[in-house]
Amino acid sequence: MSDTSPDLSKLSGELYRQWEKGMAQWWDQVLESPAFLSGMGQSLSGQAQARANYEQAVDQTLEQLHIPSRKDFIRLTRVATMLEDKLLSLEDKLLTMSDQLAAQERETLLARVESAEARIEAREQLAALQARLDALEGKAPAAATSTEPAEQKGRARRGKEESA
Amino acid sequence: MMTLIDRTATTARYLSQRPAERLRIGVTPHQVVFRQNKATLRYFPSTHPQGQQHTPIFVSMPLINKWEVWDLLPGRSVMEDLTSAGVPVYLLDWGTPGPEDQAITLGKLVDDLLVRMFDRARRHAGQALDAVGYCVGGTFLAVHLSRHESARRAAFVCTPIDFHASGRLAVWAQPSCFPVDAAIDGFGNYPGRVIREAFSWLRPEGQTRKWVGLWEKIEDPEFRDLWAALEKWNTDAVDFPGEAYREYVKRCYFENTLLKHVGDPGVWMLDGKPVDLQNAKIEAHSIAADRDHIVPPAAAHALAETWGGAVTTKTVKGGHVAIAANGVISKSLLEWIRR
Repeated sequence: MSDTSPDLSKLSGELYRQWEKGMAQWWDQVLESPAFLSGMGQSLSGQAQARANYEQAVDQTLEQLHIPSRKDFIRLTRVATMLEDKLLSLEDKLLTMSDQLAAQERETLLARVESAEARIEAREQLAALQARLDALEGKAPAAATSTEPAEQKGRARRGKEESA
Repeated sequence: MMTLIDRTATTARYLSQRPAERLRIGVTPHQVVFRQNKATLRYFPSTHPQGQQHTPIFVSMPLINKWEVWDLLPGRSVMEDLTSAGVPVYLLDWGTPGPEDQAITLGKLVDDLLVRMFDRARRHAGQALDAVGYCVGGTFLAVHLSRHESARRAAFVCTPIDFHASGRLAVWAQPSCFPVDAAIDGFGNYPGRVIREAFSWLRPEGQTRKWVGLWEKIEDPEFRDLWAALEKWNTDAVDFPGEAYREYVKRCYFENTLLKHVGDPGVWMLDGKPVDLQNAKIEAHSIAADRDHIVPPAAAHALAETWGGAVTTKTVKGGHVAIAANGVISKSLLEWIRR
């Protein structure tokens, strides 16, 4: 503790620490003693009972005066809380459904993308085949003339086999 | 140097200005992305110049205090540190329950509210999240993650798991001296002011230290602001939904069931389904503070004994709340996030 005299400050600080230490030891004994614990419990019960009695008396008076009592307000707010609970449960379900829909939409979208890709691939393959066919057709007239004698030989061989 | 009289007069003058009432806490820019009853999902976008740098995190704060303890002041904010490092944060603020909420069960919080909050955060982020729990918010998160695959991995900050290792709190929260049934039947919701008083009495010397600390450092404006911010946060305690509190105290403090597994006698049945942290298969990280009198390291690191997935632990220097204000939580979490 800073003071006009540093020595006095040191001394008062030390005195405070000693006092605090002594008090702490004393409190330790008191606060964990059976008498204190029992008294604490009784005091708490007494306070709780007094509070309940007071609230009951207030409620009775208000009821006699036909004025909404604390109980009425509690009942009303509980109904509001229950309604909120129900709304939140519905919101939960909606959110879950929305999640499921989003997942399905994602899946559908993926499927559509995949099918579009497959269609593009098929179209490309078809185009490639067409190109090959065109190329083959381009070669075909030349090939037809070069293969004619062979076809004639084949036909003569098949005629011999049939007559045999 | 100030004289004793000057110092005392300055402190009195400062307190007479009601600094805690004037100060605003929880000012890091964010938006609300979802609400259910009193609970709010708050989104803190990345403020890194190059945008998001890491996986977004979902933070489950304690029910017994306001979330602003992680966003006390500019320069003293876990939220600010995380977002400036490029971590988008979704923070679950459980809100302040009213008398109409006393019938809310722990099952409702763990299996309904947390599920929906995670879902909305994940939808908003558009990707899987990492999870972080602080104090009792971490306990509920641990139970949730053992039953639902909501996150990629999780970090638990000062989270009680072995409740019988919780020091004085464990001594007080015994069936013989803590009439939880009578309290809930009478109060409805368990009053935040009673919880706050109990925490104050856990270490009574801390109360005098708080005032002496202010008196000693009254000349330091940064310390004064932090003191006022903590005071504001601390006095703004939140009630705990009655039925949830009854179950929490019985299963956690009385029976210490988070250390039990399916097949053990007295396993916790929550809404007909056993609570077994061994069912959680994701990687977990436990951060505890060495001077934490609410959740000592032994109570927090017991996660390693009961969690189903791989667990790493880290003990940092500080107290339960101090580590939120002095940047230690941010540093430890960023280390874990960057792994």
